[in-house]
Amino acid sequence: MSSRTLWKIGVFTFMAFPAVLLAYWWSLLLQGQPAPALGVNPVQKTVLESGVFSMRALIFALAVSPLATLLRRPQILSVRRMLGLFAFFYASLHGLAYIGLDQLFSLTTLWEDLLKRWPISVGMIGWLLLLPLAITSTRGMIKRLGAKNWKRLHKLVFAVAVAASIHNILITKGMQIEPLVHASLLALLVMYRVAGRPRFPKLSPAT
Amino acid sequence: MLLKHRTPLTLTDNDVTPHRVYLNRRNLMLGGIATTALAACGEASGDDGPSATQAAPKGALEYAKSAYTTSETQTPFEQATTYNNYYEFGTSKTDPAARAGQLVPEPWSIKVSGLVGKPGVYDLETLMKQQLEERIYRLRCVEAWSMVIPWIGFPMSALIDMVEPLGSAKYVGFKTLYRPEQMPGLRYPILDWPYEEGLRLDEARNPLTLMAVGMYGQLLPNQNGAPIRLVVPWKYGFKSIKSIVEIAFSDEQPATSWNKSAPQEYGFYSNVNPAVSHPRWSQATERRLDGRGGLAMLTRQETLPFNGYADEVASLYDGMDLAKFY
Repeated sequence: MSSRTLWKIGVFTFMAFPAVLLAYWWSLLLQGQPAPALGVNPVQKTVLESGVFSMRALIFALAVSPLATLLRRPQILSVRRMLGLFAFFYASLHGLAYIGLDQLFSLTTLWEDLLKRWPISVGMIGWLLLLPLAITSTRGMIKRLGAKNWKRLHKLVFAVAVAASIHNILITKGMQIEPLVHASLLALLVMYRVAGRPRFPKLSPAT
Repeated sequence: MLLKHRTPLTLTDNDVTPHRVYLNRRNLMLGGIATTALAACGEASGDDGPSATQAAPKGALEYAKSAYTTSETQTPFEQATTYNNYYEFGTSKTDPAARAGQLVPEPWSIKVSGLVGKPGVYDLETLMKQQLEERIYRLRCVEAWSMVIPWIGFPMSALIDMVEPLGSAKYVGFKTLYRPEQMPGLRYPILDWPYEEGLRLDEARNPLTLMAVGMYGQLLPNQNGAPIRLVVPWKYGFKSIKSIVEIAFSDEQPATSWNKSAPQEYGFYSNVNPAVSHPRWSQATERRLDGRGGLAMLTRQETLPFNGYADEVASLYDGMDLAKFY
């Protein structure tokens, strides 16, 4: 097996592990057996953890290309799409756990969240922006869109980073460290791209 | 003016007798009663076996049963002591249980100040001389989950009578212990420490308002606010301030920590009210944490006005717009 394949399998296993555990614990709970790892309030824990994993997957996905450049290891790039899809996967799980497990698919709640509770609306918008990126993540879609359009579309990930960070900070009670760390890392990764892109000399207007 | 009830040079029983032993004095003398109390404790905490026995050495308390009770299923001791919001020990629900062990809640005293006839420093032992009673209350957290907990304590009104507030006193403010070396969460500016809470004097005097020193038949575990905390069952849980070191009577509404942190989310009153949503979630329903398993765990139940204590407390707010004074 090539080292590239191993790297991909390793990253996949690492990223999928939390989801597999969650699924296993929930299968225990629904059979009426205890799942101590999910704690006293498994619904709340599931919503919280899936959101955090989604945030981390997004950070990892955005860190791939800077790392590949800095470490001069282009092989790293092979997991970028996978990490992006994991970010989408955990964000979907997060939304589904909230709407399904926590709110029992109450349409009233969903409607109120969207209109009246903007810390939640921002999160929903973040997921909606992530959706087209997940759909167009296949090789076929890149071909159909053309590399240039595809790249332009996938700049949406910066908007996703902003929405996710705002949602994360606003949804947390009090002044907590973790959402701020997540947001700073995302800001750093976005800034790296803005500052790192080759610039064309521009004539500054005379003052 | 602040009168210290004892000078540092005066030794009291507390200086020679460990607090836990002191609290257990009756049990030490009356072995039989202690055994009975421990048995009752085992019953109250349900079938969560090992952990209940582990916590038992903290000492069983002697108390009377009270009329304030409910037939609702009690939250297992194990759950009530491992799912806590006590940010002085960290923001995760399991942090307090994991870290509060380093807190040494003894010796303990409460400084009473402000508009009272008898200000001063009151030792916990003095306060513990009150007749203790067990009250089984619903606890509704602002985060839309709830528990049913058997508290042991004495009415707040007894403490108020003891310190003789002046006629001008309209509010009571409380402060939690600030001890960074034993409370690792204090290193972070999650809130403006120390934690503070407050009540209107008539709310504090309401017969429901309890100063709790125990739960499930024994002394309060540290993560639940040892050694003495407030329990205001018709308000969201954060009003029931833990590990109290200061009580101040005033004619002005005291500042409260969560209100300072997010005034649009947490008001001074914070009465449980299904009709007034938190800006980020509805308060109409709640998840009851009482050890139920399987699919039942997913059910939510209606939240009642004043957490079901409307008969006792609704009159305190006659003529007030509760959507405005949330």
